Amino acid sequence: MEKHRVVTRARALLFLPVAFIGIFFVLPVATTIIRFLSPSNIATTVTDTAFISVTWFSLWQAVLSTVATLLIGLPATWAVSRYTFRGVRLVRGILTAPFVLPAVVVAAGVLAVTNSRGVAPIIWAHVIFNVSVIVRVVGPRWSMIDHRLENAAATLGAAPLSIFRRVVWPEISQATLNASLLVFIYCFTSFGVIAILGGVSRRTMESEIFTQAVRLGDATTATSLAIIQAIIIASAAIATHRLSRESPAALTTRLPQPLSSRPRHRYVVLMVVGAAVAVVATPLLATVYRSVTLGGRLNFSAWENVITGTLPSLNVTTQSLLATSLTFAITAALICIPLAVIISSLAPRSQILNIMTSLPFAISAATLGIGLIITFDTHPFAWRSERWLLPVVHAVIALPLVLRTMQPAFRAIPERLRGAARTLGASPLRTWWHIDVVMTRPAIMRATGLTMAISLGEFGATSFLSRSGSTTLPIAIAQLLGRPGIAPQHAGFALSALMIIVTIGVMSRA
Amino acid sequence: MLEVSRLNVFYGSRHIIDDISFVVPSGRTLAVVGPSGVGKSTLLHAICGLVRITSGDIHVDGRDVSHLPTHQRGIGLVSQTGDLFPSMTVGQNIDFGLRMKKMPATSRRSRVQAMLELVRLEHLIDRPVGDLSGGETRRVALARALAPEPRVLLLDEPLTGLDAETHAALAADLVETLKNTQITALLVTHDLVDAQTLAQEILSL
Repeated sequence: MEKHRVVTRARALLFLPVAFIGIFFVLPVATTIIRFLSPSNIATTVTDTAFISVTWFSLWQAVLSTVATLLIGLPATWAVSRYTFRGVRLVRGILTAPFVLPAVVVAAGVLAVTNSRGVAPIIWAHVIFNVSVIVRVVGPRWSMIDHRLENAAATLGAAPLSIFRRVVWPEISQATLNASLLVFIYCFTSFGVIAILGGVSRRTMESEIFTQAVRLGDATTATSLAIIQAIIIASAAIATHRLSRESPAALTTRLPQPLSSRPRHRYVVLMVVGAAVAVVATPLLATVYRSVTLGGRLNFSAWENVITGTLPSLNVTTQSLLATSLTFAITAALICIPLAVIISSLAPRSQILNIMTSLPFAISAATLGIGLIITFDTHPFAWRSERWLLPVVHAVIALPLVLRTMQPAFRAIPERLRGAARTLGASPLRTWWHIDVVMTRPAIMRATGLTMAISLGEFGATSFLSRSGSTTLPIAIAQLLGRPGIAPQHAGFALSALMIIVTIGVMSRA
Repeated sequence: MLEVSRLNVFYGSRHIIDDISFVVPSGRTLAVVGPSGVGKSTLLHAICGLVRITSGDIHVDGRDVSHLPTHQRGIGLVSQTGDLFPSMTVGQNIDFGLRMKKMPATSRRSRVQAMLELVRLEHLIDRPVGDLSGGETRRVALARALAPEPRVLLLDEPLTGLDAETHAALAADLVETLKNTQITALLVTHDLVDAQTLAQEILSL
């Protein structure tokens, strides 16, 4: 009876994440739709040639980016998940790190190499980000395929391509499809990359929503675009679900083979890994190079500006940018992690919470941004100019990813351990602390780093809510790189290099 | 006929196969016996091309296959664990090697049926392989390896890890299958009794 009461009281804590998502995600999005949904405006928007061309560009660049990501990412995933060789950990780190880097930093890196804007640089930036999605989602599945199955296929007369098509592909197709959907959504709703590499002529629906809502003040058209965008994302998700087939038999993780045991594969592995690392790392190295050179000569003036705090054509200092970004990142983690722990430990398999926390995946940051400025614009909820709203929004955006990082760790705890703790005299609270929290500490630390990295790099929703005094590093980078003149560009690259260092520092501590 | 002469395999500085030579005449079965870790499985993997040989020659029916890729050697392998493809049914597993040979669909169907009859599992043709027992898995693996009519069949500990009843039944079936198909076979085992039951000749490592 006592135990039952304790569990019921603990479950009441679930009210916190539900209320949080309800107030800061569902309410703003629903308010926007209710207030500005106009079927006639949607009809006008879908027939307007300017918007059709923006939609068409968003679609084809996303498809092209997804295909390019798969072409670079799948062979690299094969290499790093199937083989061990000297430096494989470093390669895996290089390929997966850009996922937590801010979009504007990656875009700045591509700009540092190409020195031009347009479709090819946009696709390159998208590939850099999303190769990590392929490595993270498809890699674990690929590493579970027993080498002996491929050996068996070879002894039955299958050539390497046949082995891939008939033995490997059925096992990784589902993971590849899921990863492709994620990549497509990220590219389709691209905003930070477009802000820097799109120039004046290339806009995605996401950047057009921002232009309509913030620059032109036309919330109705922005809402229509957001609804059309959500319908396209939902259609892509449904199509992917239709293509899904029954999950293949459960496999168990196999140790990767030493590359030395497959000398014939050595050159192929080195080639695909080399290509992927070059595609991903070159722009990041170029950012650092551009930050310390000017006209081909060593020049540390941008770093001097960054360190002394005087950024050209911005009325904000580096110190205040760093302080703002880090304060927001820490606050976002302090909000997001307890909520994720509550959900993971009290309702790890709740379908309703699973759907609620997945919503920010389907609704873009710009859509949430409009919702926030509209909903929190009137008394008593006139919060749109409050500084604290930014880390709160960062926590909303981070929560789905953070939950998916944490939940497997909580689910993996055998129930018998909790029982053992109780039979040894631990109260429910102490059982929760010593078993659930202590055993999942590595996952909680990783999730903390992830939340901080997401907050540090968030650009979409922040663009809507940022005011003077709450300018973050990515917003400042986009402003500097968007200004004419050599000095702001140079400072933009230095600030991007600083951001790479800060983000990698945060993630490596997690 | 399988001829192996002066075969050497090194893993780094470790000498795994040390200058082994032997001949298995056509239609006969040779058993290689030896304790664990002596390199029995590596020998099979080297013969079918899954492990690169350091030196030596492998001839199958007079043809040098030493440096051919595995899929072009025409050497089948039945491993200890069966290694059935989990995404395919029993029938699809057996059909796999026939597809690789680009056999017409009608011939493939009758061949799959014949192979299943050979191992007495015709009722399992549409069964997912995850539902099979240990003995059934070994039988399906044997049928799958024999289906594309390899010139040589390699058997890696074919009877290890089975309960006594299944062990006896599968041993009897293997003897009959090897006799009926008249295939050239090389098996490795650590069990001398199994070697004597299944093979006409024995080589000790």
